[in-house]
Amino acid sequence: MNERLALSDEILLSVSKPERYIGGEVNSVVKDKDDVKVRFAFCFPDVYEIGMSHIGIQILYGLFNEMEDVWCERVYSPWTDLDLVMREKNIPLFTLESQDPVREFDFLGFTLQYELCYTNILQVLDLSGIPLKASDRTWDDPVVLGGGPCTYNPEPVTDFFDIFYIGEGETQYRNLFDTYIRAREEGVSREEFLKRCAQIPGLYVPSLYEVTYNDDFTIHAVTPVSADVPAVIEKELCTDLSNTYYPTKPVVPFIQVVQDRVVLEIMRGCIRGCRFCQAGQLYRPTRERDPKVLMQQAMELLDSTGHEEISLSSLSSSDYTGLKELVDFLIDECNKRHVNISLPSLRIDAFALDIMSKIQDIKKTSLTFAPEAGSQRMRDVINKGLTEEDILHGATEAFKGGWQKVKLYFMLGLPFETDEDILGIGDIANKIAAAYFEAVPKEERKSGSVDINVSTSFFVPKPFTPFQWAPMDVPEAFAEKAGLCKHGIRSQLNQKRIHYQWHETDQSMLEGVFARGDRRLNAVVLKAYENGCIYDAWSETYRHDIWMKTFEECGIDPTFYTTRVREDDEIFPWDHIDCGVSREFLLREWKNAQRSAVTPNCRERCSACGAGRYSCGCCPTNSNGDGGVCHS
Amino acid sequence: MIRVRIKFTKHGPIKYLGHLDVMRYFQKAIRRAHLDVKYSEGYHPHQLLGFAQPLGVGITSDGEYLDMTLNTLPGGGLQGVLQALNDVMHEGIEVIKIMELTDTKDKAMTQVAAAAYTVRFREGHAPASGWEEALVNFCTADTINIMKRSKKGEKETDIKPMIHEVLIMDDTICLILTSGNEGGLRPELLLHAFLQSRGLEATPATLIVHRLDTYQEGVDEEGRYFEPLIPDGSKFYREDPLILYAKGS
Ligand code: SF4
Ligand code: SF4
Repeated sequence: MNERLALSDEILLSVSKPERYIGGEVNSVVKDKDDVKVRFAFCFPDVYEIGMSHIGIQILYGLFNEMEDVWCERVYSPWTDLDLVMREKNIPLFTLESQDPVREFDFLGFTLQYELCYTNILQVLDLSGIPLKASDRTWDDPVVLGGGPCTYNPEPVTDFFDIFYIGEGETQYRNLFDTYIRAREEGVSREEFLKRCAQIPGLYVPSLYEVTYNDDFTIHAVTPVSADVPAVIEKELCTDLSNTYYPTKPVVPFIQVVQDRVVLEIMRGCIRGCRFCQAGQLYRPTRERDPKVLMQQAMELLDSTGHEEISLSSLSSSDYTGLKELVDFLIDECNKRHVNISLPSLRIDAFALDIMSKIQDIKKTSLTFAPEAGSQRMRDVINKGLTEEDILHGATEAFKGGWQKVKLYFMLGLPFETDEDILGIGDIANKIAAAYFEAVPKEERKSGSVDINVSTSFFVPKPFTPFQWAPMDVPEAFAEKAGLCKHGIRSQLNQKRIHYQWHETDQSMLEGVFARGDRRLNAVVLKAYENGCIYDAWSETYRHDIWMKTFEECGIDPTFYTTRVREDDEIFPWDHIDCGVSREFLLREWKNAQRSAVTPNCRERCSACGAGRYSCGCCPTNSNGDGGVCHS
Repeated sequence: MIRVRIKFTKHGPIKYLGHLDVMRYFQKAIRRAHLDVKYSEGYHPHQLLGFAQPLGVGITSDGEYLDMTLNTLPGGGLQGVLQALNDVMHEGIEVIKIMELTDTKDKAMTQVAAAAYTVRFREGHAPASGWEEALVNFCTADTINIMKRSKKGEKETDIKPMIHEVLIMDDTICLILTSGNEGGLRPELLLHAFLQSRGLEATPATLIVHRLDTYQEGVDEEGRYFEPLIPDGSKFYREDPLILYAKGS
């Protein structure tokens, strides 16, 4: 462990949770900086407990550190208390492993997991002493790089990044590092290096593209500055997950973090094309990891970490074809080891209930359903293939098995929503309660009774989804809809058994602005940061008033990005990024939504979304098959 | 089934781990070491571990204790347990002793009676010279009433009976203070009270505290005494408290 900490005892004893800043966790990697050619600082721009829970960083951290000439370290946003101290005392931001200043590194890579982390990116750059704007940087500064889901539309933060990496990280980083090492050896300029990077598949160098606007501020064109820069940047992906690197010695935090367990990544992508869901489109095609490989990884991971819990990660575990085989193995192995299994929400059916009864205390755990919308018509609009029948049947079976707690997730503000759809939420919750009273005779209702928790969030249209054309509701409409939903619930017979909670709207609005934002927003992000905004994803630190004032100062109307109706042929700020799924497909799906027409999932029938070109996973063009998934 | 007690040290940056995190750390380490430790029953089994006395954040130690129950011993017996743990230990935490507990009444948590510390003032925090005599005077008073938090809230308490040794040598204050479940005296509390009595401010960073060892109480023909929770032959007899400034030593 590094005895030499960047922060003095005085500071560490005065801030909350000093363990966030000392590094040295089990399995963290320390190398000799003189033995490596590339020093990479990997940043999740949020507090340690959130950032340490992210599997993506663990993967790339492990992968990079396997490379002999690379040393990857971690850095997170200092919490607001330390932030103040560092500014006051002029302490440069440091990485956890070496405790060296970030500014000394070759690369500073950010993962952009949600839009509301943008001011934290500026915080990290600022505290590191790195010029906020890419155009002001020299070879004395690290190359600043962004990856993660938000980089599919990184336009609101292009000013602050030298490079974006579009897609899955396992494929091109080595190429990037070699390009970097060569460029430094040859002594070429930073600009020349970035130009070379633009030739690497998946790398987007925003300074090499020019954006022109129409009079109404919609995009006229996004054009590369020279002919040798590719006009479209296509995402990277791993075609064979079973043979893709996965870390078996992840860093084990000292403090309790959000994801304090072994995580097995069983699958990437999702066969279901729910029309509001960005992940469902971005990670196509669906690719599975061989259960045999996962079993091996599970044991190695438990051995190397000592975690007391293991969990499966995927977008939709019920669709993983090897689930039974894997879970049977895990139940057996984990029983021996006294390790808990936590399964992400499965679709509730006989199989799921059987597994759940083996690994959880039924009385204490909730059944989770995510119908997302209150009426069948609305579920058809969003292409959520979950019917009321499915839910009631699943719930009834579960009630008979002893469960009493139900969680229901819905969205408000979906396109083409009517009052009936919203009132339907109360309806379905009531029917579930009724199903309980029917399934469980009075004398068997031992402790308490059925307990239904309904929660609604506000729909935010995301790029690269069929709803990228959809107008978002104004905050006032959200509040009204939440009120209506509440009224709908309160007028039900079993309303005493139903609890309702909804999420705040202001942050959803800001998320909506950035999700479909353009380069004009760079100025707003910068100004908001200068005005004091930071940790916008935290409701206790989010300052809506400052954001609104900042939009005004910058002369930008946020509703341009949220509530505006977009034409079918509008050029979007993110159209020069290719996420694998074609715009034609998304538009087709947008039209299908307007007709409430359901589109089958990838296993039922291929809808030729465009991702078939990768010839892997669930796509019919995959000649190798993907481990037992059948295609028609 | 066999119950064992280990003694471990805590040094370096790992001193910033709070008590709960040290517990979590050991639970994971015990799994990594593949020790056949006993678990509780139920859906969320947990290891049956018992820590002697929580250590405050920022304090280093040479004498922390942990009891655990094993179903079976690994090859190498007790030393095998110690070795297996040290093989997966983190820099800064080292297991230095192990013993078998034969009496079921032996529980580290309830046995703790006192603890020994060294305390120094962090650079820039030492009071003006002459504080040594003042501290001796402060501690030799018949009663030392301070506001002290207990399970029942804050109230004025005489801490004098909890002071067993105050020995000042150069810049270091060696303390032996009552410790344990039923209420003890933390070194910071004593010294902050002292500083306050002289009108000085204390912050969480004023003192550098190190725990030397944690003691249980015993009695033999010579009287009542303290000894380490894994006895090593050394005994400290509790008569009147020893309060001394060893000037120029
Ligand atoms: S099931 Fe629907 S919401 Fe869930 S990941 Fe797949 S597409 Fe997205
Ligand atoms: S090409 Fe067909 S099977 Fe493949 S992801 Fe697209 S819709 Fe699904």
